[in-house]
Amino acid sequence: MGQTLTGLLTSVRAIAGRPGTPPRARPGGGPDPELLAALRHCGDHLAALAASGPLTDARRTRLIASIGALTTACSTPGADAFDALLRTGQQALDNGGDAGARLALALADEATALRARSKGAWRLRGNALDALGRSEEAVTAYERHLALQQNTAASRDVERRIATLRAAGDRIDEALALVGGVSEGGEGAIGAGVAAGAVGLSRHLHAADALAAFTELVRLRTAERGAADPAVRRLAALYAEHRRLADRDPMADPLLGGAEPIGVPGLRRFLAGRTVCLVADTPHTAEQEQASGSSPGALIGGYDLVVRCDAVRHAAPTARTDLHAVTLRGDSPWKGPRWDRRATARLVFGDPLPHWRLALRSRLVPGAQDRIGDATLRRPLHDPALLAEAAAHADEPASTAFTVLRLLDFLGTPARVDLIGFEGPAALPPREREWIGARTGRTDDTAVRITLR
Amino acid sequence: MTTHDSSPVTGSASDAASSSADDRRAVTGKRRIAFAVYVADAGRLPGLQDLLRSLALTNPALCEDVVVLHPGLPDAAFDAAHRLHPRLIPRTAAGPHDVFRLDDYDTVIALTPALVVLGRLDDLLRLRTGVAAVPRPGPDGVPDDGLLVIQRQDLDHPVPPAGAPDIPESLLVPLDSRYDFRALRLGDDLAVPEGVVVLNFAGAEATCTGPAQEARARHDLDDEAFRAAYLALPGAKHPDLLLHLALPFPDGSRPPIDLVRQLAEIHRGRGHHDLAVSLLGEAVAGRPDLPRCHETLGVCLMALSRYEEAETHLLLATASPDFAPRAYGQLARMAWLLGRTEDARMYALAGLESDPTDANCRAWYVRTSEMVAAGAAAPDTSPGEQLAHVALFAEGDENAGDKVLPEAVRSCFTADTGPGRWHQQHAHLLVDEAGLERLNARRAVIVGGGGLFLPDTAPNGNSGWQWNIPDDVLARITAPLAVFAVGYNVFDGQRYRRERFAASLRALVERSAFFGLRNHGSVARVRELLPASLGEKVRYQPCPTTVARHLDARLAEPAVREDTVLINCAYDRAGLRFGHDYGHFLAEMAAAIRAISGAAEVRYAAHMPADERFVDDLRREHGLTHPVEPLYLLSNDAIRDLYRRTRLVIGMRGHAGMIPFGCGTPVISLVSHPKLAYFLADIDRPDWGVSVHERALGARLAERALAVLADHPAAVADVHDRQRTLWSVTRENLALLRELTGLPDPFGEPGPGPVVPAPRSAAGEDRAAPSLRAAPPTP
Repeated sequence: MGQTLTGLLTSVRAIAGRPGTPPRARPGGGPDPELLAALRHCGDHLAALAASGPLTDARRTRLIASIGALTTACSTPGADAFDALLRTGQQALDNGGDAGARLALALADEATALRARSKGAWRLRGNALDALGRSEEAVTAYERHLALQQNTAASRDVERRIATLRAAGDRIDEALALVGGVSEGGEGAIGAGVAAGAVGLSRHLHAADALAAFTELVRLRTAERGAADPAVRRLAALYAEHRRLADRDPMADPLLGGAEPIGVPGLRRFLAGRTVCLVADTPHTAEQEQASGSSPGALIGGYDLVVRCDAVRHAAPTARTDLHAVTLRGDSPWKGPRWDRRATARLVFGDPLPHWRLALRSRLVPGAQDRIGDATLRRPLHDPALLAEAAAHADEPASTAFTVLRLLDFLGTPARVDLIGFEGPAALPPREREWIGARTGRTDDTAVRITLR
Repeated sequence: MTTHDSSPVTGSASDAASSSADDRRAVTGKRRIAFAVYVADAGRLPGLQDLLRSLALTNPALCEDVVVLHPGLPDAAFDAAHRLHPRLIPRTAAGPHDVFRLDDYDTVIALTPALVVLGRLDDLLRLRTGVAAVPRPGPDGVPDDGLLVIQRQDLDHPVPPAGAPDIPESLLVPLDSRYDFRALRLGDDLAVPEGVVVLNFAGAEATCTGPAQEARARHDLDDEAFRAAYLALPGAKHPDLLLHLALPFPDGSRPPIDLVRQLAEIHRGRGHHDLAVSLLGEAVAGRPDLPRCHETLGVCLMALSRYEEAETHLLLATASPDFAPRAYGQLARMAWLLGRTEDARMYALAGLESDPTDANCRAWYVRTSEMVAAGAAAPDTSPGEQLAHVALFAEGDENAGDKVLPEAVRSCFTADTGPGRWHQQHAHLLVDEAGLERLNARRAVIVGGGGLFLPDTAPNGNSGWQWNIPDDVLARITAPLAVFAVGYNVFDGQRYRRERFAASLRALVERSAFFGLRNHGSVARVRELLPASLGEKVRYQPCPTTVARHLDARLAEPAVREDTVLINCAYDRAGLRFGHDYGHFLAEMAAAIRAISGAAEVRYAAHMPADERFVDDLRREHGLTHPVEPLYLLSNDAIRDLYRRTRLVIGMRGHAGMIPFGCGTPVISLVSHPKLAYFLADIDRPDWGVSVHERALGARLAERALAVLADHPAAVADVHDRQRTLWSVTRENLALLRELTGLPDPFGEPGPGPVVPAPRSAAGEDRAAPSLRAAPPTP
């Protein structure tokens, strides 16, 4: 990797020049100066990366790969390097940290200079400014993006983000009005204006500075007036809202379209006396299930509850799902696609709790489920109140199907639990197969159905 | 820090003395456990201190009494040991064998100053039979200088064994050698084997110098180092021990904020909200960015009814997405109890915004939304025709008992138990001026039933019990006030500050024209808190759920029963209920259920969703699966019907016994709370209860259950017979209460004549005063 990085840096410098030196003129005109400037930024970033030691992080690897692609595009006559530029900016953002965001902003600046009507460039610029805590500027960039974006569905996230940033700013304005808004010479005004002025709180501050100034304002006002003061109480509410807005966007519908949260007792009742089948999501099973009059289709249709797991790729969108179970994987599971497949009940397995909550907030779709498992159902295998098994090895996490199966078996209330289609490509890991094998009541002739005792 | 004074931690001496009034272990059979150490002379005191330090550092979550037996050493000799342990009890003894004579404990773990504890003792605490020891090879059998686990119940009374070697072989429970490993065996060079739990230096004190001695020397710490080592331990710590070793904070250094919060949580758990507030208030002053601390502080301020400050601190707690759902749940509750329903709804919604599955916020959202909707369509009823009813009113999937109970109370007074005749005032709602006006506009105010004299659930600083009413408001109630079938519900060993409660209680009794408590145990406990002049006003009024067959004619008809037995367990305050015996309880219950299953289908009756933990625990630990009847989702008629159609109910909740009993169904109580024992005493059937701590719980439960099933008609007849007494008392009291309310008798005239009072009733205690109207006017 070190060599690749060094090689790449050499190529970048060869095309774009060293910092402070103009790029060499290339025969035939060569790339736009903005692209060369962008490449120089990339070069600076690579140099810093090279100095910071060995690279093992996958996100950094992806960033380097996209810088490589940008370099290639810049050095290939006729190639459109603009998309490569935006991709590199996005990778820089995904890379995380201030350095990544600064590179993204620098690339976005070049991109907007190159194509002032690129909605992607403005969005990248908004995202970069947002990540750097420059909220007001981010809103301006997002608004430029929205002005160019025709697809309303695609702009929903940006609209939401603008609303969040504005809401955070509005909390600051209200707080300032609250502490400075008492009538002149009134009892409450003494000290209040001093406090607000002293901390320098403003919605135009860098996000981190605004948080610190807001904290200081609350501290001063509480010390001055005491926690029982109604204005201090309101200030505390604004402060808390501001802090939460800094962490994440608000939910559009906290009631999830009326979905009922269920815990262990609710799930027990949901399953009681029902026949349940877990259906593997394979092309073969999906095809059989869809074929009218097919015996597997009729078989599945005969169960009271159909359970499907994780991202359902093969079963038809209309295929009945009574219980959908999904396991959160990866470092940022809240970024995954939304769970829009219609299900009567949905269970989300995941740890730790803050990640689980974030994922639910961002991925649940109101109206896509009638019931949603609560935190007591998020780790049934290891929860001391449920199966209480020792934590599995991180490199061998349980499959979702197995987790559901164990939960159903533990609750013990379904009339019957069958597995359908869990062979071949959909076969579960050996450890899980072993558990199932020990409890298999029968495997029927067509070898598609495993019935638990 | 003075040696004996634990006042910074556990309150004043008078508080400690008064808390003993709530120690009713004799009633519930909760196992009393102690360590006992004999210290022969002052030279053994350093060994005792090493032992105490090693015990705390290896078992940080364990804290039982440590009885130090000695031949008459001066009190000051134990100063250093007192600093190491909060529950050290020096006691003069004739000799080491007095460890067999500690009559005030059920289980005694005898140690010696030559021992050092190196591992967890949990398994020893779970032992329930005989005298356990590590057998010594040779004729002596049991050593008299090692560890013993003595179950007092198994010792021959009145002459206990003179010493360990005299213990009959039949009583001996052999322990693995790691529980009393002789250091002598290691000489000077062998390492202490892994897994040794207790290392014994008997006979090796002077000679041993090797790794064994190092293991002991590790615990030879000065106070400061010991306290620091204890506080640095990861994992759970016993509240008593943590408070004792953390406080007072060393001078000159700011204590870690997380430690302060933990200590505040301990104070909160004990109802010492004022101590928690003073500790935390100081620590978070000028620190708006400590959400978890602000949450604890807010909850404690709320418990002291300092609602304005509480709201600010809880709002600061919502700054963290991790604590926001819980803090918003508290905010919703607080806004509701202050009558700010719309604010409560918004807080609940904000909590759902942080966690859309949060059950508490969801319940508050649903409840307050319904209130907002209902408020718009309030029935047009003349207040003067209504009775006001102050009680706990369960909604949603809250406690089924608290749904059946208020209806049973109302049906004692009026045939119509709905909102037309009754103005509902939830006990937890703060009674402000407007609330007072609403109460006074009613014909009378009925308070009860249920365990309202309980300090810790939904605590408030206005009264110290469940009705959130300040004294000055209580004093201005002009409508006739009747306290009806209320219980004194403090748990075994539960400590709380009772000054506020006692003062509020006095004001309540003074103001009441009728003051009836639901069992004689409560009558006695409450009388202890009242001056003699007021004590006479306290009378016995059984819980009306126990006479349901007399309140509702439909229930008096013979029931068609299914071959089922219903079981119920409760899990609120599980630590207080079960102590160290939960594993034992589960195993015994599993055995009983297996035995009973041959005669009837065993089903589980959950009064609350949390009750279902029993089903999960039994499934995990013993592989048993049971169908669950979620009573919290049923209507009151359906609940009574279910209890009426079963053959037997084995219940731990008070109302899992009282409601089926009232419906004419035999019950066996799993006694983990004094109220159950009190009820059984009142009906003179103490043998219908089995302590959850009972050693042979499974066998006894199975035997009794099978006996009931074998002659079911007789058991039902006995229930009916017992009920007649309760109904007689109730009828007498209701006659008096009709003088207050001016309402007709909903049961028609004449009722069945009074019968002989319950055998357990003290003479005159249940007799009604000639007339309530003739009672002296209250100021």
